[in-house]
Amino acid sequence: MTYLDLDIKEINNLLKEKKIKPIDLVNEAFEKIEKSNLNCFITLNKEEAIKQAKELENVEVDNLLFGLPIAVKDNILTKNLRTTAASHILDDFIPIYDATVVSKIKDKHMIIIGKTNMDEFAMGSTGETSYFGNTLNPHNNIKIPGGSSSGSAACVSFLITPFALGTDTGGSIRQPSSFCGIVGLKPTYGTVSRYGIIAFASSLDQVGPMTKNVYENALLLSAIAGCDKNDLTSKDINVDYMSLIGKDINGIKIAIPNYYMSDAIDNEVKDKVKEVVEMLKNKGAIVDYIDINYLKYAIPLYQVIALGEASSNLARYDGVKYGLSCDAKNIDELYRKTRTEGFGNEVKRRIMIGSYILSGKNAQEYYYKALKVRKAMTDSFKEVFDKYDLIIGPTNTSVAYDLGTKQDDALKSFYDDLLTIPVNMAGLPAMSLPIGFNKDNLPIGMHIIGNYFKEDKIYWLASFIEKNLNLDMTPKGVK
Amino acid sequence: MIEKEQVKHIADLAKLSISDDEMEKYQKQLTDILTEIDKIVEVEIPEENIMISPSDNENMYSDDIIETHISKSDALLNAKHTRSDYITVPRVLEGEEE
Amino acid sequence: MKPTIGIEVHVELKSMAKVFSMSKNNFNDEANTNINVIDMGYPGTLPRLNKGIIDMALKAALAFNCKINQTMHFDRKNYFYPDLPKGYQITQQDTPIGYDGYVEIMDGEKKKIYLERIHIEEDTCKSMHTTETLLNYNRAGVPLIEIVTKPCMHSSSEAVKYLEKLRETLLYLGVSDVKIEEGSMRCDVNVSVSDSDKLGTKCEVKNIGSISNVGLAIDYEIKRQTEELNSGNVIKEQTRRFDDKTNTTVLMRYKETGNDYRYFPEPDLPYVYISDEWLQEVKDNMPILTDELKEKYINLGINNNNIKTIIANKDICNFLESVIDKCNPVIASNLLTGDILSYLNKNIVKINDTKLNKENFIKLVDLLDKNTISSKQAKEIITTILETDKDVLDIVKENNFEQISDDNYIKEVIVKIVSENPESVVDFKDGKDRAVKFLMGQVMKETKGKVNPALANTMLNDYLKSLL
Repeated sequence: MTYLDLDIKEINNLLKEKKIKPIDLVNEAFEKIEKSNLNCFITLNKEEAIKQAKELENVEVDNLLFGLPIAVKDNILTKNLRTTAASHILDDFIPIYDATVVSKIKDKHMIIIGKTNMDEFAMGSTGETSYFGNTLNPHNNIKIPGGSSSGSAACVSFLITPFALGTDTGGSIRQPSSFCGIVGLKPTYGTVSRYGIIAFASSLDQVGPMTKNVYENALLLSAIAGCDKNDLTSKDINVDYMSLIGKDINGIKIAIPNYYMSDAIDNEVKDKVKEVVEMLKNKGAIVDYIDINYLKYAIPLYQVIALGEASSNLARYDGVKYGLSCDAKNIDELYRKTRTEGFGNEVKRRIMIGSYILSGKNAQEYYYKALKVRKAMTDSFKEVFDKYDLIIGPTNTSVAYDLGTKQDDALKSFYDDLLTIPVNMAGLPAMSLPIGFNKDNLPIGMHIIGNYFKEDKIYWLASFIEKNLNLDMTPKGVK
Repeated sequence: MIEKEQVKHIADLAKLSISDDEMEKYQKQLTDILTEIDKIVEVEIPEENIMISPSDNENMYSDDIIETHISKSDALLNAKHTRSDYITVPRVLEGEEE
Repeated sequence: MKPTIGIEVHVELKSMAKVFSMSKNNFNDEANTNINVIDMGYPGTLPRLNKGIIDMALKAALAFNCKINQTMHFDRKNYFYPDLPKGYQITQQDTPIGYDGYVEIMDGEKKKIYLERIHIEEDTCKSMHTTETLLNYNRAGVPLIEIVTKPCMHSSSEAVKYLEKLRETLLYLGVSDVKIEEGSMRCDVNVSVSDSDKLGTKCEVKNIGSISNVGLAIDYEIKRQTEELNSGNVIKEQTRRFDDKTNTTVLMRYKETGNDYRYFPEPDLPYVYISDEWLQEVKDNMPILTDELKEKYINLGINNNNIKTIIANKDICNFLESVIDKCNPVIASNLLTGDILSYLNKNIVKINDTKLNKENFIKLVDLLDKNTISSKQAKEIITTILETDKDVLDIVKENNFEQISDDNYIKEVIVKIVSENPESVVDFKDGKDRAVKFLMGQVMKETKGKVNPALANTMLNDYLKSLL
């Protein structure tokens, strides 16, 4: 019997009735990690997790998340537990404080199993830029798991932990969720505190829940959302994320951007999305194909804004206060040796581009211009939400592809995020929901984009689709 | 194609060293991306307002009250070079700036 | 050759907490104790914002007649330096809190020194250079305002007067200690010389240690650059430092093609909207500034020397302001700038550290105003009320200081003395002044010096005239 395959309400009952103890769940998680061999984790928290689980035996089971194992992406700071952002430059970094999200899951008595593998500084969409080696896709070990939240996605997919936290700057929760067949949500910018998240692009980064089903996703989001005085861009929104789950969708208004169903998208993916659309129409949904302006500029916008911000955010890794510090005769040598040795190629390339974009007159020509186009694109999204409840389409242009495919192509790696980036630009919430497999048994994800702080509507539609499709997305041989 | 000198200037700004072997690769990759980025220069937009962040928060601040500090041992915990209560770096000479 | 001067001043604001973190704003405490993860630029940290700093910067901007950017954001200035923990400084490039202001000075005539901008930014770590460079993060994040003039000054005298006025005003606003020697006010001066209408190439002299040295540095630069140009040399843009041993400036480095700071808007800090109401509230809470004070004191009849002394001693001025509506301002200013100030100077104490309280001071001024006591007696009382809590009225009673101003009693004494000295009446009739002096002496002797001398003198004269 493996408890972690169960619905969490069932696990909660077993815990309440004292039929199982938190330590049973923790032990099971670590057994599965050994069995999985996916390189999901950079650092395991075994000793501390066992200690915590034992302590919880004397604590009343006070909420649904009580005693449940969770995996945390390694760009989220955990006090006294190594946090590396999958980079050599931070490979011995021991945080002296917890990220706000970590404090929140600890308040719920969740148990952190370990820190998950990822693309270095969340820069990448394959998991391959990690200093600690790539993560494998549980559905097919020669395929990428997606990225940058690779380990978190693979971990939930393999049923190692029912919950994981990821971060999403241009698709880093949704794309690996789609490739691994799990439910991943990037909340509205400002829903979850960024305090303690190793910044990639400050105006795009957002933490989000990664789970095997919609209900559990909403549950975890409820636990981590909320305004934080340490993140001035965060906001208190009192939305009951569960309130619409399981409700009928008759009359719901859905828009599909033509751009999301273009020739750039894999046919099998499009067909799967269309099947779901037909089902929704049959159930009373109103679905229209629409246009959203400026979407085609999303990738250059992302390159300018994300990389400009990143070049500044990553300046603090200089060998002085923490992390790698190379021997040097003078300060300039300290900087150059530490940064050249400490950062991987993808990160260096992105820092270079970001520095160029902000350099001299380029700042006006590129950066400020991008901020204006961003505003225009966002206004275009807002117009759509004046008329529609939700926007849907595929999460990605394709399914998971082979490891090693795009390693040294500077441009193509960005094109993986073609459909996810616009959402970060506007700061909207969006989910990747599994809607089936392609002919090679690789998962396909549907993208559900909501209006600002309307995650409840995303969960509404997602739970409806989930229930109607009734899929088992577990990788073969895992159960 | 972006010039070698430009690549070097950018690397200097970012405090990265680029070997001669890597130079050509960087020239090509940066050129590819910069060509892509150039697309936004020509985009026509209805207004000139910028969007710094999706957050519509405003006037988020605290009153002038001191909050908690970290301990000195925590402050020095992750630094590789320290002396007594200080983090140290190789001696910075006067006039050596920015 | 015409010199042109522009000045950039950094002023540390005297808040409780830092500007973008809420740790304590005092870098003189034990090294690396007033810090948190934000000050150290730890991964995952985000800036906070201290409203107190915005209020202080607003006060300064309003005092210097600036326009206010009521919608403002912050920007990042990116460069690598070990004293800069994040690799960028949070500052205001696009939307300085104040712009287009001026400072009025008296330099022979009234002049306006035009300000380009005032903006808020954070200070860096304090570095100590030994065989290595040691970093003290206590100063990282300490609030600064940078005040930048237009290149509009043309002499060291103007520059010095501007800085003095700037310092005086900031002190009166209560936003900074403005101690140039301790680094809470730092001056960088740009000097250029040209024989045409076009500005010459500027040379920057950094971090000069006193206002008078700013004057010396400017004079030296004007002389040096003029000589250079006269000998046909080209001046390259450069940064220099002032050497206070030789009173000269020394080249530090030439400026390359311009610094590439890669400014961009800080995404971690939301916009600040300064509403009209907010602005009005700050205006309502502005202390009276020195120009206004001077005018007020002149109108109250306080003499110029006293005004100068009062303005130069802010604590004294604050004290005067707290009592000025409740007693005779001229007598109050005389006491404060006279006996009280000399006591303070002699004993090296501040007025707030003495036992002096407003109520006692007002009583003392009133006694003098009504001629109840003499100024000689007041002097004795002052020492007591500076050193003890004793009530002025009790002191007067204990020492029997009270002067007699009872008309009937004085008249009685005068009649008695005059009748005893008929020869003096004759002298008075003959117009001899000494007669009055003599009689006054007798009156004082008879009363043991306790009658109000001025009153007695008048009454004696009146009485003598009535006998004519």
